[in-house]
Amino acid sequence: MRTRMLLAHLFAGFVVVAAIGCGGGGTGPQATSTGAPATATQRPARKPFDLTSPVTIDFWHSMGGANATALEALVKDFQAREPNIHVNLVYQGGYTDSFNKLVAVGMNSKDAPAVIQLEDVLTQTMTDSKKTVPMQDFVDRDRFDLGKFVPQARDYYTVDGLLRSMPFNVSSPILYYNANAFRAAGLDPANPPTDFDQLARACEKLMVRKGDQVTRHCIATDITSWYFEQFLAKQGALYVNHANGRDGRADAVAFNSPEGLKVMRWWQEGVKSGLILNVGRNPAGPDALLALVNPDGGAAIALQSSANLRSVVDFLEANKGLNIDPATAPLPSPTPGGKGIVLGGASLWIPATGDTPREEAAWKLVSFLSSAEVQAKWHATSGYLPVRFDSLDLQPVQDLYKKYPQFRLLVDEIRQSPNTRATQGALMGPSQQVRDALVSAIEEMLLRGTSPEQALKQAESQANEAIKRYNRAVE
Amino acid sequence: MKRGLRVSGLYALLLLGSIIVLGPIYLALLNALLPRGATADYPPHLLPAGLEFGSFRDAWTDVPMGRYLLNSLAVSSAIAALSVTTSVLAAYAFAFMRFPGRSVVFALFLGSLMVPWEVSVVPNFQTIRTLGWLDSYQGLVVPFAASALGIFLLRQHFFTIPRELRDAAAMDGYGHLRFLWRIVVPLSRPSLGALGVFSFLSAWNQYLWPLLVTNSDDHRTVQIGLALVSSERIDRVDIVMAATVIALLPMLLLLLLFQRQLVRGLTAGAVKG
Repeated sequence: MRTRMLLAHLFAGFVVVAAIGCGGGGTGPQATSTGAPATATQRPARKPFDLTSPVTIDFWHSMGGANATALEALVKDFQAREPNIHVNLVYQGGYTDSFNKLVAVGMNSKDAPAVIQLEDVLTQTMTDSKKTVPMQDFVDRDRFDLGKFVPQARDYYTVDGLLRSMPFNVSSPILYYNANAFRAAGLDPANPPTDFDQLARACEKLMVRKGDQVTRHCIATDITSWYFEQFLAKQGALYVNHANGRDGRADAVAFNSPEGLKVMRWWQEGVKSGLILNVGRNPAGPDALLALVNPDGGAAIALQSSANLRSVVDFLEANKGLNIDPATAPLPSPTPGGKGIVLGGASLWIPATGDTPREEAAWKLVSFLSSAEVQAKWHATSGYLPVRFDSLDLQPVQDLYKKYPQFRLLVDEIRQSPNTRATQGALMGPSQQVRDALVSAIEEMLLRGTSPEQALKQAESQANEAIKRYNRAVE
Repeated sequence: MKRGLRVSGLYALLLLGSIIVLGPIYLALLNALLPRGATADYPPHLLPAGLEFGSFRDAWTDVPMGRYLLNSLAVSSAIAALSVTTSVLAAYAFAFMRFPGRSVVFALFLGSLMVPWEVSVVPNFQTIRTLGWLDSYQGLVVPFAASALGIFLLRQHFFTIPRELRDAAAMDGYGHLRFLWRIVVPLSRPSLGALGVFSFLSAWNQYLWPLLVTNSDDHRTVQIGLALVSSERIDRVDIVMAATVIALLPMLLLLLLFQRQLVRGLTAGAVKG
C-alpha cells in the first residue's frame, strides 16, 4: 500500500508537467465561460473512416469482483460482433493506479491504451491535458444520439460544451440495511428514513445499548469525501466556486458553507453519540458493509456505493445462514426534501494517439458499450446504474427488477434528482488533493475532536492552495 | 539455575519471534483453506474449519497465476545470472588488475550503493521508455543486470585469494580470463551461490519497478499479479490468500534448499576484508 502511495506522489508531479507541456499552443480553443456552442463549431469535423483491416486495441479498466466478470462478458459480446477488432481487456488496479500508469507511459504515446476507464474526478485534468480525442468529435460525425442519456451523467463529462468522455459506469452512495433489523425494531422497512431528522428517530430504535455503551450502532460509514460531496448536492449546495467550475475555471472551493457545516456537525455528533460507527479510511470499502453481518454489534445500516450492490446480493445468496434481508434506500438528505445526487462513477476516454484505425476501433467499442442494449445488460449484471433511460425498458433490466427490487430504487432516485450545477458535479484539476484535504479534516474532527468549523476551514485553505498551484501550472 | 533461567528466557524470546514471523503466513494459509464465505465470519476463525482447496483452483484460473509465476521465474533467473556474471568480471578487475583511477572508480561504484533505488526510478523509467522497452522482459531485467553490492561482495572475497596464486598462474601462461575461470570462480563458489540466490530473491520480491514497466498479463510478475488479485477479488479473501500462498511457495522452497549458502555467503563478506 505504501508503495502505491509513493507512486501516486511520484506521478503527481508528472501530471502537472504533462498538462503544461501541451497547453502552450495558444490557438486551440480556450476555456470560455459562456460560449459553449461557439467552441464546438470551431473544431474541424472528424473525417469518416472505414475500418477494413484487423486492429488490436488495449482497454484498461479498474473493475473488480462481480463487475469485472460482467465487463468481460460485454467485451466478449463486442468481439462476436466486430471480428476485425481484437480487444485486450487489461485490469490496471484501482482508478488511481490506472491513471498513474497512463501518465507514466505517456498519455498519447504508442504504449497508451486505445480506451481507458477513468474516475469522474479526473475529468478536468484529462481535459486540460489535451491529449484525448473529445467524444463529441465522434458524436457529431456519427450523429450519435445523446438524447436518451441520463442528463446528469452526460453533463458531468461535458466541459466547455464538448462531451469529453463517455459515461460508462455510474454509481451513487446508498443505504444498505437489514430489513429484518428494521422489523425487529418496530420500523417499517418499506419506509426508510429520507432525511437526517428521520434518520435520527429511526436510529433511536435501531441502536442497542448496554448501560452507557452502544453495542449496536445505527449506521456504519467509512471516511471519504464522496459522501460529503453528495450531502452537499442533496442540499443543492456547490463544492467549488464558479458554479462548480462549470461556468469558468474554479479557483476556490465553496464547501465551507452552512450546508457543509451541517454535514460535518452531523458526522461528528453521530460518531460521539454512537449513532455512527466510523470504520475509518477504507478505500476498497467492504468494512462498512461487514458491520451489517457482525452478529456481536456492528450497525443496522451501512452507507456505501451502489456499485457494491451486486457483490452484496451475491454474497448474501451464498451465505443464507446470516438471516439478512438486504434492502436499500436512497442517501438521506441533511435537510427535508433534498433530492439531488451527483452521478459520477467512471467514463471511457480515448487517448489521441494519432493512430486513426486505433482511435476508430476504440470509438466502435465505446459506442457499443454505451448502447441501450449493452447498458441494460451491464446494469443487470454489475452494480452500476445504466447511463441511459431507454435501457430501463429492456428485458434484462425488467428481469433484474423482478428478482431484486433493490435495484429499481437506484433508478427512481435518478429520475427525481434535478439536473443542476450542484448535481452535475464539481470540475477542478487537483480533485484528488482536495479530497485528501477533506478526508484528513474529517478524520481529525472524528478522532481528535477538532471542531467542525475548524476542520472545514483547514480543508478549505489546503484545497485552495492546491487549486491555485494547479491553475498556475495550466494557465 | 541461573543458566536454566537464561535459556528458558531465550527460548521464550525465540518463540515470540517465530509467532510474529509465522503468524501472518499461518493466517494466510488458514484463510485460503476456509470454506467460501467463512472468511467473513465473526469472530474470525483462528483454527481450521474444514479444508477446501477450491480457492487455490479459483486463484489459479481466475487470474493467469501460472503465467505470472513463469514471468517471475524467467525475470528473476535472468537477473540473477546477469548480475553474477557482471559482478564477477568487475570484481576481478578491481581485485586483481592495476589500472589508473582504480580506487576512484571503485569509490564511485560504492557511492551508488548510497543512492536509494527510488531516486533513480524516474530516469531509469524514462530510459526504458525511450528504448521502447515498456512491457517487455528486457525492460524488467536490464536495469538490474549489474549491482554495486554484488561487485563489492565479490571483490572483498577475491581479496582473500592469495596474490601468489595469480603470479603462479601467470607463470604457467594463464591469461586473466583463464585464471578467473579456472581458479577464482571455483574458489569463490559459496560467495557466487549466495550472490545468485540473493539476487534471485530480491528480483522475485520486486514490486515498484515491475508495477511501472509492465502493463499486460504477458509480462506481469507474480507480485504485481498478487496486488491485482487483492484489489480485483476484494469480495473473496480466500482467493487472495490462496494466491498469496502460491506466490510464496517457490521462494520458501528456494530458501530451504539454499539456506546454508545464503547465510555462509553473507557472513563471509561481513567478517573478512
